[in-house]
Amino acid sequence: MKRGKKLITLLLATVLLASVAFTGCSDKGSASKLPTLKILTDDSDTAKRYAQAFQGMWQKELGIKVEIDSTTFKDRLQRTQEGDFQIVMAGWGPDYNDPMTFMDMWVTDGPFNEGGYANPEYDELIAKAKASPDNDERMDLMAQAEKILIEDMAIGPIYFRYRDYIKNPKLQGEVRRAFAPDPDFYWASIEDGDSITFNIGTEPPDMDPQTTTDTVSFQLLGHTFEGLTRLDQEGKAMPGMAKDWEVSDDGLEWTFNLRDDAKWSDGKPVTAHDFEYAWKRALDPELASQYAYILYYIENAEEYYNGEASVDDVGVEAVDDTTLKVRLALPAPFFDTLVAFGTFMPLNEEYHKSVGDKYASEADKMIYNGPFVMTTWDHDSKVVLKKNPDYWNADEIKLETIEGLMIKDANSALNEFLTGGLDIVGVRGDQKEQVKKEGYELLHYADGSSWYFLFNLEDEILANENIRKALTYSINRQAFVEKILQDDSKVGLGFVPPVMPGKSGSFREEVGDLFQDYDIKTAKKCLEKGIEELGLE
Amino acid sequence: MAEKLLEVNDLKVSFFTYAGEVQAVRGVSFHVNKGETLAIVGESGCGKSVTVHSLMRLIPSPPGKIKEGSIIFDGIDIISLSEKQMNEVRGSKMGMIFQDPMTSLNPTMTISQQIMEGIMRHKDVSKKEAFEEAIRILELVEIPNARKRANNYPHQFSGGMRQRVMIAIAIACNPMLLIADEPTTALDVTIQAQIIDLMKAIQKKMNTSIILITHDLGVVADIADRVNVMYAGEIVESGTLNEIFYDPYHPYTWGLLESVPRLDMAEDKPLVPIPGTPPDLLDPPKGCPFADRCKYAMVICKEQHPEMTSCSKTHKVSCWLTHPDAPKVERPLGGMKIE
Amino acid sequence: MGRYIGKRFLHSIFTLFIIATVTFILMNLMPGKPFTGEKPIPEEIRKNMEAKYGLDKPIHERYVIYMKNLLRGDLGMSMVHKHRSVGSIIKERFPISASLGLRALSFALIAGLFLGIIAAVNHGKTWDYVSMIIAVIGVSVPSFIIGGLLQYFVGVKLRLFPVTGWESFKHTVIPSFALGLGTLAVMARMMRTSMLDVLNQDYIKTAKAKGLPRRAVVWRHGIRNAILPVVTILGPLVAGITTGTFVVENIFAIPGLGQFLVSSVNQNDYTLIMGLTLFYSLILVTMNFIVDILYGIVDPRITLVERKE
Repeated sequence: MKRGKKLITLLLATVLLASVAFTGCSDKGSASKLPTLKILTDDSDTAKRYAQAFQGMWQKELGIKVEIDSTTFKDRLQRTQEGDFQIVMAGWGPDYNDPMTFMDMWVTDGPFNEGGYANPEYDELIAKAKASPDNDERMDLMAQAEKILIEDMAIGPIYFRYRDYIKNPKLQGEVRRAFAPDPDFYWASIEDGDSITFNIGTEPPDMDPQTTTDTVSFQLLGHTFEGLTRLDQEGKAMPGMAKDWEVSDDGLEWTFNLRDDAKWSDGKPVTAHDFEYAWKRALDPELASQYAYILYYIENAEEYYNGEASVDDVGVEAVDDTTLKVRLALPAPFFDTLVAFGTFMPLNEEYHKSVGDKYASEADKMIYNGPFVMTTWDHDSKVVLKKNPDYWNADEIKLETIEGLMIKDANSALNEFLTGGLDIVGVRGDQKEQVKKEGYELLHYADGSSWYFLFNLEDEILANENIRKALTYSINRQAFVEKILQDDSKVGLGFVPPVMPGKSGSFREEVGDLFQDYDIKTAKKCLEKGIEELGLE
Repeated sequence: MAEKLLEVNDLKVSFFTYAGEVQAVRGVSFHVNKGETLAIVGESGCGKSVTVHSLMRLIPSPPGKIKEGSIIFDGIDIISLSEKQMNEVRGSKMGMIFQDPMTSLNPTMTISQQIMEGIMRHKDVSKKEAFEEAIRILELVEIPNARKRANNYPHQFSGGMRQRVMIAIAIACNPMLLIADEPTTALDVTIQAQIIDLMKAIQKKMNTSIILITHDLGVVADIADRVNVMYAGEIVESGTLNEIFYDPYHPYTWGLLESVPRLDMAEDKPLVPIPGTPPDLLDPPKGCPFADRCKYAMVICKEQHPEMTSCSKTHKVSCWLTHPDAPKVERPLGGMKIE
Repeated sequence: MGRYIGKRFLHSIFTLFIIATVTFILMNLMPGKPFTGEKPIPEEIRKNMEAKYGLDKPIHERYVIYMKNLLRGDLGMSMVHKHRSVGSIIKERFPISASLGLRALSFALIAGLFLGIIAAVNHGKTWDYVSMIIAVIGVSVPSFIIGGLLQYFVGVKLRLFPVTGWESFKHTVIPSFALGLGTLAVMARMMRTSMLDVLNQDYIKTAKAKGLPRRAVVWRHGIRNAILPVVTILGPLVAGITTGTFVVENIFAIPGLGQFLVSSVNQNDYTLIMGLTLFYSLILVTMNFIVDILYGIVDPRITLVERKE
């Protein structure tokens, strides 16, 4: 009986395959009417491998010819921003712990809306969500907006990135959050000792909190500085320099009460003025900080940066040494987590004036207020962080020393780990086998990013929604993740990644998948319809 | 009778190449007396250079190898010497002058250094003494301003001057035998005569024996006491200068003499090159090696190798024409005069 | 001699000027802009940043400004490494690359020449084949493979040397070896060819005919002449190997200049590209000059002074 069943399945499969092959043929006929499309990619081997995978899938499933247009990394970014492309694979990582960091990208003429998507309905939903102080309502509005985004197929979701790492089993308590995924050693400890070594990969390009943009610098700043709040293990705001805070009913007025025992590493107290000074500095058009936009929730911040308002109009004010009042332009219930972000770190005006341009250029050209202080910054080689004895919560900090090496090559880093030179190291897909053989347990973390096809909606062909749908539906994401990425990434069937919070749990889980992975049938229908609409028949 | 300095018996030298064994020298026997000059003449590739290089064991090995024969020099069996013992002979008892003075001197050493090197190798002298000795020898070979020019490099000298330096190197340790491998070939005609004169003068002063290799019969006539004619790795005729020039027996010797211009030659008489090419020494013929190019060749010439026969006490030839049964042939050359 | 040096100096200055100009133009033709980041920057912010670094001015104006600063010895600030001047990056990183390079080069020279000589002297025999096999491996196996393998087997498996970093002598062993191997192979092959050529020269026969022992013939007459062609490539070689090598420095996480050679171009760090190019050119020009003088010392036939006859 079992045997018979198997045979029938086999037979069925053959018929199915044959029919697929047959329809495949006829489809190629219609698809060939579509001009060859181009997928833009940078010239790294990995990027090209990804593009080739999609190229193969589109060719095989739909008979669509796609050319790979590879260029330098910088040029790829440039061309994407200038709209000189048809399809490009892009990724977005969260700036703060709320789906809005993803959703407000696609509002009409938004600075990050590189595909040129414009839908008034979407814009209205986002505006409403931004204006609402009620979390459940906001989440509902964003869920509706995401549905429209995917129905319009403004972008074609591919995957949510999860990565692997291994660590010294003696190391405990390191935290990797979805946003700011690099390990946070605030709660970490190590058996038989109090010092650990990890790999920061590269020289921190800019340790100035107000101007820096890169993850290495932000990670080091997270350990050596502290904002008004700090993220706890779950990514929620916990008291930092502020011992508590209140928010008005309309969600626009925030009052942070600073602790009076907080000190800079040179002994001066940390005051509300240090925050006001730093935030206004970040918005100073002269400083030209790339991350200035992250402060735009604050009233008149954007206007000041664009020269339409004066510095005094900016809605941040140190009422006294321990009280900071912030007026927001829009209610942002997540503002308490936002202020934990690097750009919001305080800066003592007096100290800053004393070092001038040299600020943050060397370990001793900065003062710190975080759980650790940077004692050594050996450029391009390593940094050493030592426990800050004056930190208000020093009793909770178990590590005395954190050493950060700058090893760029992933294999070298793994080798260093294997000889005991590192206590924690990231593992690439192709290193997984070796790591397992060495007997280490693979650990996973979400880096919070969402990866998708960015379509140029101003392109003649890609302006057609059905063509975009055909391209998106026909991708076999499961196979892509398993065969090409080889890491722990998850199939993306919506835009906001699962790690973003929703009403109570995960936004993604609450909203659910918005389409089906590898839906060839629908893809084909869409393709035919698209070709017809484009008048290519 | 003159005292023999060098005696070579049945010397055979081969080069082992990818193509096979090249028998460059095939059973050569000759001797050199003290104080005399022996010239070895023949076309390029006839084995004359290989023969004399063998005397100093300077054949590159591999691929070259002395297969058979003996070389007795000043009572020493050269072939049986170890390399170390051989180095005691080279440069001290035998000196050698090479063909091209432009390439035979080390470009990165001063000439005095190059002369002193040999002196210090063989004589127990200080550096200073060696230098003085070098100056003396440079003066002997008539380098003007010897002391001043001793520290010059070879490129600062003309070709003729360099050959004088070469001679200085060769005679630095007062050798009993000076081997000159075509010492004038690369030089201008006027310089050639100067070098030959210099060699003669040195010979007179030092009573050195000289083996001179050349294909220039004019030079031979100028300096040689006796002559060996070599062809295809063999000596085909040997005799005194007069015997070879006035009474040659071998058609190859005739050919050689006919192919050079002479003062006494009738003006309308053309120079006659020897037709054909020498035999392939990878596979030498079993008969007379010259038979293919010889217009007097008989059947036996290709079949059997002629034996070396004596025509006089000093004159020997290897040719079937000297056999009593051979037909008499008219020698193409009339009587000739030697300057 | 003084006139020669003066002439060479002016020549070098002109060369550097041409290099600076061409690099400046080519660099600006390169796709991408320095402040294009992974996250697109709002228009106003980019404009502000470009204004800050003077990138809003037309290219000819920027060229004039750059050249004026260059004359004052000011290479400018890096556009990516916000707080570091190009001068300080070179000053801090070059000594490390130079140290690594010179170690690798010394190793490559000593071992390479030795192998080449051994091969030539034993032409066609076992040692010839052994050294040429080493040379072929050195030439054909890229340094990232050699480096990676050594790091894993010698560093991780045998624990003989540290895996990454640049602190003690022990840290320098594998990288110097990995970096030098290719040069070693080039040296060995070159020396072998040159030595074989020299050993066939007539003056070697002259030396032998003097009764000199083989050792003296090889050393005094062979090597000195055979080394001449090797000296000629030493200039570019030293310049290339001491100014940073991306691959080896990357594998062993050595804080040298190598990483900047690649990253400056990838990140369109204009000032750093200019600074590194000019620095490399300067070293190259200087090295070639030194080698020319050296060559005059080694080879008496070469004279630096125009001959007056």
